[in-house]
Amino acid sequence: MSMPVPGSEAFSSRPVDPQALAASLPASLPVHTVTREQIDALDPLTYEVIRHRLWSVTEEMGEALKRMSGSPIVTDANDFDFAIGDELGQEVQVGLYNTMLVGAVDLAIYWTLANRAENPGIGEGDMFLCNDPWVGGGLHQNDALVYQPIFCEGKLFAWTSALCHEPDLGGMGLGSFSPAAQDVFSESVPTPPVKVVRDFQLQRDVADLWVRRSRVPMLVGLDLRAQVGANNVGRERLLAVIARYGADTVKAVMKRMMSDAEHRLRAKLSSLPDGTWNATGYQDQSHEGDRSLHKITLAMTKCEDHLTFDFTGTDPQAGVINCTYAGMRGGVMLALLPILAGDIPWSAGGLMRCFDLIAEEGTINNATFPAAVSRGPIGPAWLTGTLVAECLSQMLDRSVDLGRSVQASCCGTWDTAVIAGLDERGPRPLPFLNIMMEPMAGGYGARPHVDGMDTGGLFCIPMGRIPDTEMSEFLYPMLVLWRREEPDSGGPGRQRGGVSASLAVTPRGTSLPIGLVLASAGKAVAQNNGLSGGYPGNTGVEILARGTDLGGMLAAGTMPADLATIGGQQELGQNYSQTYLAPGEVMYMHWQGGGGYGDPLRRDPQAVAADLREGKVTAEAAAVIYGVVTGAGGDVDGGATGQARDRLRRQRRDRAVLDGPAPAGQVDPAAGHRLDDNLVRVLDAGHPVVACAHCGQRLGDPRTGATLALASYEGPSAAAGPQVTSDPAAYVDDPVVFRQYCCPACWTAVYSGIVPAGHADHVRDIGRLIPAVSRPADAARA
Amino acid sequence: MAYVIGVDVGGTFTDAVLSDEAGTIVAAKAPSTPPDYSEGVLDVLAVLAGQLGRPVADMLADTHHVAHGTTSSLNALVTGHVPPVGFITTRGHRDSIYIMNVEGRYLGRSPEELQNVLVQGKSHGLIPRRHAWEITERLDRDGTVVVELNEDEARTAIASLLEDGVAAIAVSLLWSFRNPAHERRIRELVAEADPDVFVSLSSEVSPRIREFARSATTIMSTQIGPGLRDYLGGRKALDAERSAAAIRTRIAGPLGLSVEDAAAAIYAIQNAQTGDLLRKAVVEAGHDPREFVLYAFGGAGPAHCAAYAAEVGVREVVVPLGPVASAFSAYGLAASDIVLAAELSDPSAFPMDPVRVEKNFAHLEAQVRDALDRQGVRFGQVDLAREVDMRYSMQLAELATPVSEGPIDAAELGATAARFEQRYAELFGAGSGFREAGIQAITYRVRATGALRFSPGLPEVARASGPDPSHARTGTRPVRLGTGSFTDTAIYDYSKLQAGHVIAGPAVVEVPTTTVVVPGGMSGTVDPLGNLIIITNQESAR
Repeated sequence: MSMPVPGSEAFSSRPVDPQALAASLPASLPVHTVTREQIDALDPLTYEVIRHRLWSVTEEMGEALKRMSGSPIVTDANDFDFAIGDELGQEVQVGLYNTMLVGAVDLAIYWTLANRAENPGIGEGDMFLCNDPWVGGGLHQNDALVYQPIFCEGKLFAWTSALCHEPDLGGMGLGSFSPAAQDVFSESVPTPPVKVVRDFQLQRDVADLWVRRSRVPMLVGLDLRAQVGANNVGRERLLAVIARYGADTVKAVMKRMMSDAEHRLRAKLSSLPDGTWNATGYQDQSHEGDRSLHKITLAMTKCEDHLTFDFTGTDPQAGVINCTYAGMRGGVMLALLPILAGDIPWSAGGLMRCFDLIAEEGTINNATFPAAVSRGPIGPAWLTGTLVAECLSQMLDRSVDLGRSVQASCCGTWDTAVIAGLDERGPRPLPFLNIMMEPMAGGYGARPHVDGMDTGGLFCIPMGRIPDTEMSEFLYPMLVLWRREEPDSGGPGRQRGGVSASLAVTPRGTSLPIGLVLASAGKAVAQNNGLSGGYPGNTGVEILARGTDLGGMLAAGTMPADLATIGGQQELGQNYSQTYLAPGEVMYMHWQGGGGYGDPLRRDPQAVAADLREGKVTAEAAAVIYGVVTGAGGDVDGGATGQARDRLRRQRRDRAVLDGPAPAGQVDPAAGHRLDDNLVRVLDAGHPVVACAHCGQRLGDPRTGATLALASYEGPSAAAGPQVTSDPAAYVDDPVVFRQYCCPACWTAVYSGIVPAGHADHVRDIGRLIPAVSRPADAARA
Repeated sequence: MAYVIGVDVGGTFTDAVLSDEAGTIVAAKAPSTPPDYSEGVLDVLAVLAGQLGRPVADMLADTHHVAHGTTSSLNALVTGHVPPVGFITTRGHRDSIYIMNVEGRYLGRSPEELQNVLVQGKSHGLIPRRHAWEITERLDRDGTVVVELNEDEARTAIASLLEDGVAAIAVSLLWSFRNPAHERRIRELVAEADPDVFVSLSSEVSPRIREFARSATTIMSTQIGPGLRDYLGGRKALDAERSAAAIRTRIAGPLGLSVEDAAAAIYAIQNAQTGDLLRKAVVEAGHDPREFVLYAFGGAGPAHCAAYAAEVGVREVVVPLGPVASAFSAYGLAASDIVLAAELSDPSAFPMDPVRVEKNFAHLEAQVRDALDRQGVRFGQVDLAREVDMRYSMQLAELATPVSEGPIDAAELGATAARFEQRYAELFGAGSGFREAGIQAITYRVRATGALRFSPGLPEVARASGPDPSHARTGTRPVRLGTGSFTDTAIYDYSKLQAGHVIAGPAVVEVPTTTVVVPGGMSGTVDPLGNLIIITNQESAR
């Protein structure tokens, strides 16, 4: 860990008071704004028409960038985003690509206004470039933001921005990812805002300074022009809207969009009970060679129409798994946007007024300079979002209406493999460098009423995609042996988590080993947790098969379809490693599916039989996790299934530990108020108590104790089922366990997790279910 | 006398248009007759013959060719009324059609649906997994055989599919467009098992890179190939009262608007969104919408077309209203030259090998000529046009770039690359190109146009003595378009309009099959064929 660097504080951007920011600007930079009266005077028709126009502006910027970009990360995986901001950079409309970036883009504009308005000035025809994650814009240095002020009649009217992930911007590691980095000086240089376009002219000196650092300067140069072009498209389209409707009307719409989004989110929050919910998650390993766990812990408090996300207690910054404040904020947005604002327009500038962040400085999701941050978005920022989603789901699950937005965790990281080498297939050898894009095909978490989406993608990139295999093989000297959905990778549950896919590739068309950097998480401790007793999805795994006879097999007419056939010496890929893939060797990657919802023993046996037919679960999982027996032709054997499920419940009983006798008495669960899939709140002589929703067993009474009387079990992580693909001891020293809590009467699972043995969970806290202080309205509802 | 007959089988009506060298045009309609649509076709031919005053047999004896089109295939795909088909693909890659490149989750959704991630779901795969088989074989990107086709596996897959009762088999192997040998061999093996089973090969249906789209296209082609199933149709009357009630409860009430304001808002938003979609569709295909004339047909389109045309920047709108307009698909079939295209993916970097490019075009030209010959039509003239889809290295999107006729040499390829760069700069701004990254050529294409030996003209309508259309005016009524207030608006009866009449907006033209709106500030002119030509004025489009 490096010492703090005096002088680096000036580059830490934070949300600002817009009035104060506007007042601080020099007279040389007049800004255009509108009055409250002008906003209120908008007619609904004009508002809707212009609002849709602004959406289509970000869409067209996206299409323009995709058409122009040279990077498959942009063109085939959609890892980029766009925003239109008001005159101060508050986000009015954001694209639906990488939503974590939403938490970072405005920070860069605030910083630019505060630090660039006097010198070198902010003028018409300028564009700025920034990849400093402390300033904002992106979440790590590979995220390059190009943004422009748009002027109308001499006044600063708005900002457009185009951000994309660059394949490599220098530093020690391939793809600017150095798994062994101890600080940011081993990584790509963070570049604070520089004027890359001045008076509509791309500045050759700045452009050269930018591309010179990269291992793939051509691609970075093409992307830079694509980003400039996308902003050009945005400017042209926005000015056309202004020419059509007038600057004041358009600005009034922009302001109204943000306040509408804010008010709608506040109204939704007001309709929910107040309370505090907790979630804690982990990164296995912080850098190459590390074998420890690093946690982020969150206490989310909802009070009336406001949320507070308090990350106090999160571990100190370490290795490469750190993100800046922008990453923490982006992580919050990745969950908040789809879960709370799926039906509210994503005017992020308004939505972000509804929460506060509390975090200690120098922690893995609020890292201070010069922490290494290249893993920021896909490590700690992503985990931040997963935990926020988990807390939001706990809050929403008790609401019949809003509970439709409950979702178990999705694939919890980007399983990274950077590849670089020499393509010898053409008339002359050409170097290549990029990231395998297939891990975009993760599984989604299950929801109370539906299974998780199989290979639905990544929750933080609503419009992500993967390239066709033919495109991957066209671009890189490799052969894809398979790319397929993996059975059992979706977390078991009453609703099954979405399955993920796996990939096996071998070099073809190169005589040299392909350089390989691997980075992932969730291989020991699950990141794709289930909810309400649902199990986590699969643990991630990478395997390198060396010394195979692949060439012989192919020549002999065999196309291996599993690792056993491939043979050779099979190495388990660590979370962080720098290695290689030589001709004749095979790399196997299997990223994460989504978590399950509810107890798998309560899954409809017909659904399990259908999953068997469609290859979503194996016969083994159907038998030992779901307790479903099928006969000839794949039809459910009802009698045998009932017996198998009884047997599995007895197994839970036999292995469980009880703190004491279960509270006496049954209640009628039908009279209760839903808390989640398994728990209800019922009134006992006017006092709320918690009971099992299935059998009516009383489980807790806040008057007599703070915890629920649940039976607990801890065993090896493999006890969770075949989705656990490797021994956690291969990655970390801390013991990792499968932990399950069940109703002590009907043995329904109410929690199933793969966690460190020392993990402090809040499953049994009655306080998360029945807040100590209820508002009168809540009591009335109960 | 040689006739050309076009027949368009729709869900409700079967239309037919007959034309001849002398310029005679006869249009006819008959009810469609599901499930056996051939009855409706015979009926409409009888109506045509009756109009000519000739026996059907004589008319057909003098017919040069019958061009036939139908929407029933599309309807079958949309409603899922297709027979079970089997799918055979490369080992390790069956799931491509289920993974759908992830984007199967969201493609085609509106902004509101796109951001509502939690309510999205992927569509089911086109076929159940038990009908999707992997077999051992593999090609690389150059079409070189990496693993030989395992014919025993293929036979097992085919036998199992046939036993399962599939009506047809789709075959899509990786890189088959570079080397179709394995796909063709599988077709032979199917024929050995059952010569009557319909087989589609991806290397023939859609020989282009990106296996997901190619496989999906091949499967759909297979689903509609063996035969057409019944499809939906029918007419629905508009209930004004219930429409108003729906708007009141679902839109006007929640927004605090009157029903009329809400209806106006729906009209304006519909226009804006149609305009945006149209612009995107045009721009994403690489075209400038300002260079287009908008052709607005159907029942509802003419009520909106002038407004959204102006939004998009289109200056001229043609609303087809002439004597054969109601059967214009059938007319199009009867009057069109025949255009066929063949394409081939052969990705390589610039400078491409001229010999290879020449070979690609020669192959495609032979292919389209052969396909034209199979039409069995004597053409007046056949024109071939070549193009190649080019891009800067590793870009996702390509731009179709014309290639000159004649021998291919390095100079012509250089000129082609220059044309690509020029077009690129026109679309995305000067300086946006980056030749240093390299240029690639991805897909080669040849379009063949077989011109008919005569081009049937359209009958002209009566010519007006002057532009004043007063005698067609049936009165006025209050009409509201967009944000404005109700305005007394002239109403015209189309049947009384004549060529040369000029209608000043705001106006409404009532036609039996549609209603045309000419917004204020725009004008509509009846052309000699009876079409209404609206000249938009972008300032007054709202």
